[in-house]
Amino acid sequence: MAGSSTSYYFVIIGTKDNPLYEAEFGTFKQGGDGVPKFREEQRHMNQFIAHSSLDCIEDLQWASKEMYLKTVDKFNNTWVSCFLTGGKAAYTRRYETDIKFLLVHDTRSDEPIRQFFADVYDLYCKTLMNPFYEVNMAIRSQTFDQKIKAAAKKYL
Amino acid sequence: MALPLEPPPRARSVIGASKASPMYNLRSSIASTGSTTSLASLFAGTGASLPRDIVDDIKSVIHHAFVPHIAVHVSDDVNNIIREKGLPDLYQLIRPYGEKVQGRITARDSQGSSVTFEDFAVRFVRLLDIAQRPDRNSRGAAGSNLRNGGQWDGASAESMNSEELPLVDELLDLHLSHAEELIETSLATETESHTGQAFYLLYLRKLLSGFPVTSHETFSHPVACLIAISSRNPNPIDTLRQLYKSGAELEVPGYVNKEYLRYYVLVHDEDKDDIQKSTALFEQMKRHFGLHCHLLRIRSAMCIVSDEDSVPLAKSQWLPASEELAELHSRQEDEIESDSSSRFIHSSDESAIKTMIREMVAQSIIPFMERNIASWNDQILSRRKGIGGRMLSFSRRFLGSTATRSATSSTTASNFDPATNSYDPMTPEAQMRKLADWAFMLRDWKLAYDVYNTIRTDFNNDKAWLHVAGAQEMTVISLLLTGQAITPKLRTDTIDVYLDAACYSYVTRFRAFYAALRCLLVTVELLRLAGGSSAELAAKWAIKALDLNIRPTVGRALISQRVGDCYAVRQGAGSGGWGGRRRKAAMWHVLAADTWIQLGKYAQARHCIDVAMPRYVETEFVYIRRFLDQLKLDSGHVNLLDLGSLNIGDSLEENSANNDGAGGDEEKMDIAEALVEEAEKPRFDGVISVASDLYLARVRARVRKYLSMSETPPAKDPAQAGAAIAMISKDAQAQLKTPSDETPMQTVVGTTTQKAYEEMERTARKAAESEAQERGFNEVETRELVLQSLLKAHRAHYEAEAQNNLASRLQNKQHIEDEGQRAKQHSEIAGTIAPATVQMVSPRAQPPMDFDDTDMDLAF
Repeated sequence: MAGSSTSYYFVIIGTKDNPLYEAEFGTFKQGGDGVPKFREEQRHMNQFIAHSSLDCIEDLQWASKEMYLKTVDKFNNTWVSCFLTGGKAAYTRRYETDIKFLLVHDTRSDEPIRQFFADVYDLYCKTLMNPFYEVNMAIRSQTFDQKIKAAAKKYL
Repeated sequence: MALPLEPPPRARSVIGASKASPMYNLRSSIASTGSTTSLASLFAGTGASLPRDIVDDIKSVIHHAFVPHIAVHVSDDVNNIIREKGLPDLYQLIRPYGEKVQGRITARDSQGSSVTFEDFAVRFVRLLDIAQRPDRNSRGAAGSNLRNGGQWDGASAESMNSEELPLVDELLDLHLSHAEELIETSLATETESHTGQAFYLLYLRKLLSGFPVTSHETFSHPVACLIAISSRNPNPIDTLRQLYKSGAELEVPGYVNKEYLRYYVLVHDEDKDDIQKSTALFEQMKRHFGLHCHLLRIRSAMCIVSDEDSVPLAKSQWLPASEELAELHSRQEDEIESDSSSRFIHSSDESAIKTMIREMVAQSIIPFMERNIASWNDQILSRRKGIGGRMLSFSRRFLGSTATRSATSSTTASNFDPATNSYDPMTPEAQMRKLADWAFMLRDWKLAYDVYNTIRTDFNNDKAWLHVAGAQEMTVISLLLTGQAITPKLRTDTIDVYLDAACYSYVTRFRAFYAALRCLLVTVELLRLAGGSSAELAAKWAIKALDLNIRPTVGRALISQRVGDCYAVRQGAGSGGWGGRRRKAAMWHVLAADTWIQLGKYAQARHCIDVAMPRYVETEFVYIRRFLDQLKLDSGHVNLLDLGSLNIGDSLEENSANNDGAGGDEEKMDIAEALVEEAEKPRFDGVISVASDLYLARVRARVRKYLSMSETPPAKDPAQAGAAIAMISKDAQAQLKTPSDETPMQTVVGTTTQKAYEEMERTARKAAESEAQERGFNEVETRELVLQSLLKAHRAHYEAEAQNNLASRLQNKQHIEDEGQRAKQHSEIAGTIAPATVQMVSPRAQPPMDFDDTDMDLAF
């Protein structure tokens, strides 16, 4: 889909279907340079795909105890993997309390994505500890961005 | 394919013609969902449960697709009479009336209980067509058969090929172009049935119109043959015999059973011939040929509109795409004759034809089918299902497998003929298939389902893959039609598996795209009607159908729109719509809109955008927003909700009045014109539509308003007025020049409410000025006071609005868009004012404390 190497679109989605943080990166495996190879028309599709997969996640999240839901949706040759943050346990009464991590990717590999999500969750929790940060705020920190990219480089 | 490939007719004659055709009026029931006002689409998008009449519409399309075919075989003298009436032949005359058999038709199902159909239909075909069509194909196929050495490229597979599909697309394209033209000439029609699912139904109907004659199903094989002679024939009985013989000797494909019912018709010419002679002849016919005879009394005189008893000849709704295209093209060529396209016949003729068809169906064809179904059921199915049949099938399976192992021909054990990829019509397998198809035509879904289920395994044992695929397809369709509750188990074990296998066979083994598409789309509709999680399954298979057709054709756009519709049917639980598929529905509607724009069908695109928009109004995804804005621009989308409340003419007049009162400041008008030109230039190079005109009118009104606002400060202070003009026009300019993150459409909304807002500003200004005069302020002080009071007024207004906002948010989502825009304007204006008054402004005017991003890094 995106040339020879695979590319990833990563997004953290807030409780109101709003993106908190977005990033695109390419693979570092098999000599990839980590640069996303999305064509221009793929970029809005990534967002559409991620947004529409929330429908499936809403179904799945109550059926599974795992935070990592693996591949939740598929659109043509693109898969969506999802990780739910711990908000689910704390506020089960309200529907819209989960922060979701979504990764749109064009090759299937569950395990590396799980590791990546674990790292991202770690980073996200640290962000939450910031007294100036509130749930559903966009994350604009440079450091956060760098660390996400580093995690991507490590696993994807 | 020998049609002249010309651009779709855009001549006026065609519009007139299409208005005359009942196509558009017919689907009036759909208008209710096809509404394009944004308000209505709020609810349409979230998928209210399907209205009753829509369900009926879809079902009736499917019912009417699988109907008994009746061959027509007539002598030349009959056609001579018809030609005198101004029609090509008897077939053309009676065909439209077969689509709705008058009155109720009662048939008995396998349980012996009688079922009544209100809308039974039959389809007439020319006997010669059945003979010729596959013949041509099989000749070509026979060659390729030998060359490939493959035994699966049978003759029938060739005729199952996608020859018809491009034609259907072309036809729909034509119809849509008409609709576009109608919409562009008057905006009101857009809210009628010209968008929405009317076209999808049309597409489906055209797709199901011309079933090819194939070996693996018998829907297009004739159930009966209508043999007709006229009263002018010199030796009628002999001619009938001749016709019978020539019909039987006609070289039809080997798999078509020739033991169909013969129905003899004597066409009596009321105008020229003697009825007594004809009656005598008819009695003679009855003696010779039995009861299946009819005396059709019609007039040979041509009927014109002005005749007393003239009625328009019914239009056939089930014309195959190729025929309808040919007709449209020919109509385009001879523009003068376009009126004659709607032909007229005498009402006595019409009722005579209706009576004949009713009698034929009710008294001959239905009993004939019932009898056959019963006897096949007894003789073949019961035997097959009984102990002996099972033994036979076991032993055959055993024999078959040993046969393949010993590498001798495996066909010795079965009746399947791999060379022609068909069964002989007299073999039990072929008869069972026929039994199932006939039961299906008589809407005895349960029996059909049972039989399809049984023969599937038989075909499978014979490795007759095309037949297996056909049986699988029909198993699923008849299962869905039985109305049985679709359990998850049924879904995964039966529907999914069979559909997948059938599609694989059709597409990969036989490249029969038409068959695959038909199979998928019919199933998708039925699943969609089942609702709930079946609707999601429907969407899944509709997506699969999209894969069959990669090019951006009308069909593709319609199907992707349908995917969205399928998702929209699935409603969530509770107030949150939990577990619904609204986001998916919205995405597919957007994708369909994109395809529509590529095809140049802007009205359709606008409709899709309207449906999808509520889901994306508040989205913070940048690319989605940008993409949608682009789509709106490309399609000339405009919020119809505003159009009602906006009186462009009024506001323009009022503004020009304002300008005159102010002494006609030419400079200001120049700025205005410049701004308008600026707005006109870059955006609508491609799209010239009503919507864009409206949009421009609004931009104009808006700019003038901005300029007229500057007249409110007292003219005695030119510097102040100038500053205000500069400020406001800069603001206006800024608004018009930011297409990247705001739609121009959106920037320009809410002109009417703007009036109230200006009034507020005006009073604030006046109050401040009078106060300044009282206190004896100098120029600079006065200006600051004015600006400060303006700022206050803005803020008060904004806060009030925000409160209103909350209330209205629940009622009207579209409103939010407008409010958001207005709030943005306020803050922009406030922003331009704020720097000038920085020392007088309270701390509250500062933007809320925005912590620095670097703060966040503390946590790491």
